[in-house]
Amino acid sequence: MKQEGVGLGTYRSRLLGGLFCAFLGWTAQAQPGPLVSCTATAGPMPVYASGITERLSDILIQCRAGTPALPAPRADIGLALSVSLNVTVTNAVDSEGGQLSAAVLIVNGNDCARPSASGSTFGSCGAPSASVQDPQFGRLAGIGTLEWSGVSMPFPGALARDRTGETNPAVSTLRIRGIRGNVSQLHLASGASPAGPAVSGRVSIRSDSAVALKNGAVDLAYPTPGLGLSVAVEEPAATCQGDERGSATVRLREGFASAFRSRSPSRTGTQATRVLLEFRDLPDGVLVRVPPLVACNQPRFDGSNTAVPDALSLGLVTGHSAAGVGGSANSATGGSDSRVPATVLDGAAQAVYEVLTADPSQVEDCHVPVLFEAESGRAGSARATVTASLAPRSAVFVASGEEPLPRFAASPANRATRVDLAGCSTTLLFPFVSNQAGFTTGVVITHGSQRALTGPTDEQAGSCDLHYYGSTAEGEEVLLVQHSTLIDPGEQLVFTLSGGNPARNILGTDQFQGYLMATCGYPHARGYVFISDGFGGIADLAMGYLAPVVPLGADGKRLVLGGDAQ
Amino acid sequence: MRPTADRSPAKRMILGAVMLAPWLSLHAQDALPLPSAELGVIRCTVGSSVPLVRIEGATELVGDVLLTCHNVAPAIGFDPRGFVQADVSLSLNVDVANRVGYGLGAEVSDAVLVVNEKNCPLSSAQRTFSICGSGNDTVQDPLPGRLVGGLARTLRWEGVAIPIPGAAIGTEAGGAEPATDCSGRFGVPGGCHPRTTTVRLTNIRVNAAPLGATGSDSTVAVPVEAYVSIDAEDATVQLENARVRLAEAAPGMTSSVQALDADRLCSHGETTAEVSISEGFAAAFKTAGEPTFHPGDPGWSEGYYPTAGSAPDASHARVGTRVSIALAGLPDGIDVEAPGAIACSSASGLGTLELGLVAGASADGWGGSVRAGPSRDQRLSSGTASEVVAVYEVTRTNPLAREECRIPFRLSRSDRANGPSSGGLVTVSSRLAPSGSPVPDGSGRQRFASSRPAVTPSFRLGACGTTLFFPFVTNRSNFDTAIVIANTSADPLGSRYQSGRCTLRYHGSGVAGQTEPSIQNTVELAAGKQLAFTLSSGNASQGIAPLTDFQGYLVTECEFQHAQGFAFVTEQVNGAAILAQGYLAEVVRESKDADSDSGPP
Repeated sequence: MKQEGVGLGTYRSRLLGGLFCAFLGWTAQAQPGPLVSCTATAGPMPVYASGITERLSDILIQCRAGTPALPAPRADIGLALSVSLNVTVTNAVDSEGGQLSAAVLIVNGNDCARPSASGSTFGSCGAPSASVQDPQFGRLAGIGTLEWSGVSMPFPGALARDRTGETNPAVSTLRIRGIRGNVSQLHLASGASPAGPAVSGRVSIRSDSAVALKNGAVDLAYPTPGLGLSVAVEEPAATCQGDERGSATVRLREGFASAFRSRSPSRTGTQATRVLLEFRDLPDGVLVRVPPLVACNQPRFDGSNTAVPDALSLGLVTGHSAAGVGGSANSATGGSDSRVPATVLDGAAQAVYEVLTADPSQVEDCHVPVLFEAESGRAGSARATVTASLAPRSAVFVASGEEPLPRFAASPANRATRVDLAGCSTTLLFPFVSNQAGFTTGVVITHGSQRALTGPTDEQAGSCDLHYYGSTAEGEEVLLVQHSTLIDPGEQLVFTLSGGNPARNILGTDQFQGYLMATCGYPHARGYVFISDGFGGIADLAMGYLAPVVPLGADGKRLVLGGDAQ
Repeated sequence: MRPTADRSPAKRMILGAVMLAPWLSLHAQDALPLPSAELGVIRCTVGSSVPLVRIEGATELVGDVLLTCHNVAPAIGFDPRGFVQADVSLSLNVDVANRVGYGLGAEVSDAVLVVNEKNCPLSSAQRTFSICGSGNDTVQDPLPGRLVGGLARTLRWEGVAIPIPGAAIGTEAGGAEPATDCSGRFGVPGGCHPRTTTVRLTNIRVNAAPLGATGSDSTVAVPVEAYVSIDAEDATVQLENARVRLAEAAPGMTSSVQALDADRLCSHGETTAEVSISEGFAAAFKTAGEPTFHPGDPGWSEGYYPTAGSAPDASHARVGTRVSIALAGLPDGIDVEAPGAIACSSASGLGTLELGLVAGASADGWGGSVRAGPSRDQRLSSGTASEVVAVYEVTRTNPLAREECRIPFRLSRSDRANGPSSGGLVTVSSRLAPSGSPVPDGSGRQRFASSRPAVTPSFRLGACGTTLFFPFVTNRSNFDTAIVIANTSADPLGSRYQSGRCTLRYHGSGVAGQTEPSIQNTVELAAGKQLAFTLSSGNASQGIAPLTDFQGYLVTECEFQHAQGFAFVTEQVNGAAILAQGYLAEVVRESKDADSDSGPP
């Protein structure tokens, strides 16, 4: 007994002393060192360089106890967490205060469909664990900063808060999901790829407990051009007579595999990816027609003519605004040859397409056939500009509760490609014609296109407008315009100033001298002049010359003749 | 031996309480006394914010360096001062361009070190502890960095008092006692330092221009990098991620030019060249007086580092970003006017950019001010200079959007001009301003590299005239030549009507060789009209005199575009023509229509 009593007493005394010393030791000067050490990571991914509301990578913060120990009951660590981006935060925010964003903090994977609006709550949204706080919306704490305050993080490895005897995971996780940023801020004008520096975020944690965060700076996304554009002009790229032969193929190419997104119930956002095509600098009277539905078959690379079916398909949106907002996409199947007029808004012909289907695992492209159709008899030579941008476009670069998701910046000079619309007309200059002083002038205008000379052709017929500038023998000014009948390929318009050619609808002029310009509604017109004093009788004098073709610039305006002319 | 019963029940209660104390204290951690920490190893993680800066910029404000420090084991003991004294250095891959010599010392810059976000205007180059900004003196005041020993790329902050995380707050002279409970008294006098110490290096400016000069591809952003080091007395300070990026440097502006309806210079005496300038990135253009980049955190509502009195100005430019636009190669006799103010509209109609013409600025963009008042056009030249420069300042911009502006320059023929404009290639070089050598006072004001872009856009002004060449004309040996010169600027193609006189230069060829040319000036010829004459008879009504026994060639210079010529050579015997031949005159050198060249972005 004694021995036992002594032993027990000694044991109890030592235990008592040890515990007391431990207590005193706790309340005396503490050893340094953070209680919890955290590391932030993210998986940056490509995002649209022109995107205003691009969803960025999740941020995962993993926290471990500084000194591993036996499980002991520990209260949750109270902390405030913030993320500052190098761009503005553009999450959808609540319409009342405008500070509550849709970005969510999830602790230890405890997620639910309706995160908490303020502070940390437990068991209020049906999340799996009632001992871990519910997911929590972040608040805007600045134009580029989101903050979560009152966060309860389970102490890693400690006994669970609900005292069920279970231990917290050895690693507590804080996942920030759904941050959106204005990536277009970083978009460089150069158009290089990558299109700008990475979107980065700086994570900071404030806590009265010693919580150390390593690697607080994380890259969240890489701005990447989301859309490539090229234009292939098909032969002949002319816009004449409404015969729909003026055509081009607009090739749209994904900037990265997941750039084109179809509507998905599981994806946040009001609509699928949209592409806005704009046609500017079109000649007067030219109408743009586009297909209402595009099944984006890929051309084979082996040279065969068989197209390869592609997952990508586009539907034309009707009822949209000039910024590409609103309306609905056509999804009905139609004839492959059907075309509808592009919408004319703000002086440009617009066609907005929405992605109906896409394969997110591969970079796809789509060939959109476009027809340029002349409304009137002829359209001049022109170089139209085609631009393609992602839509809808917006000038709201901050968080908003009303603006569409996604939305894009209308970057200056974005992806403009020119479409050469070859002129379907020819202008000839006859510098001197006369039927004064016994002279008269014979004029020949030939429809002599290459095809007409080489065999059967489907080129169009065209008429010629004859513009007379000069005066009569009495000095009276003459400004006259005559309109010929149609001249078929291979035919000639022949007339004299004096007699005209009634069969071609050309009347003779009386005592005219000056110059003549002929504008013909077909390409490759050529002119010849023969001046003589002997038409209808014996000629004493005669000479001839070939009429110069008046060069026109890309804008359809007249260029000059001569050695320096372009 | 004491009876066992002596220990209970009171002693048993004590024993139980003692045994339960750790459990209870741990279970209710928030109520647990938090004693002050001893000094261990100060371990700091270095982070930075990485803004885009202009690669042309000589004084670009880069991101902050933020050191987040913790106090980790092993402990080496209690320090009554509560802080560690250390020298902090920052070495960059470009030259530091901060302001120096503003009253705190020749080498003292306005790059600032801020401890635990205690932020207030600088008042001393030495370490001080005062009540500034945050309202207590528990940590040191902001400290300016020094440019060390002429090393242009290194900033150094000496004698920094880095609070020991979690330690009891002391003073420079020491005197702190270990605190048994810091709870609720973090960062207040008599309490403890926060468990995390932050050291922020802010308001750092660099000369980014050399990065543009060395970069092989100026379209790609080039990083501005720095290396942080700390040299502490009597303590170990470890750095993680000591090498950081402070900025990405990218072109701040691109430009292009397009001549609009250049024919008007010939027909109406004026035309317009539209110079387009585009921001290289969203925040490249800045306005005066408002920060467009928050060096501490990205944001645009206010500057992190305050401006007070004559203290260094950290967060915003004193003048808005300027753009110097030079038009070179202008033909003689051309006046240039530019709008006094522009509200820029982009193709999408979404722009907010506004520019004001700076009156009194040098060609490099120094000095002068934006003239208030109406935005009517301002004359830039007197009509004799071959180069004119317009300097614009950004007066409004959206720092979140990349914007563009099209500036119409009105080119007109001077009243003093003689003859038609000769035309030529006009190059447009645009650069950010002010540029050139820094002002000797080292004020660190916003400035940019002086070099013009290597590739400059251009446009061509057509000469307002036509030269026709008639290779053979004669009125010898019974021959005569009829000449017709038509002004075909009247056409159905929308060309502008032009009128003017023609000068006829007859280059005769005699037995002794070429003779001096005979020159005649015609009357003015309107659009759609013709000059018609024969060598023998001339045409008195059109101011053309007859020639006698001439043979040679004829060159005509007309003051309008689109002149065309026709010659008709005949032989007459006894009044009857027996031979005839004709040809069209060669257009020797006629003006080009103005074209444009946007140049690479």
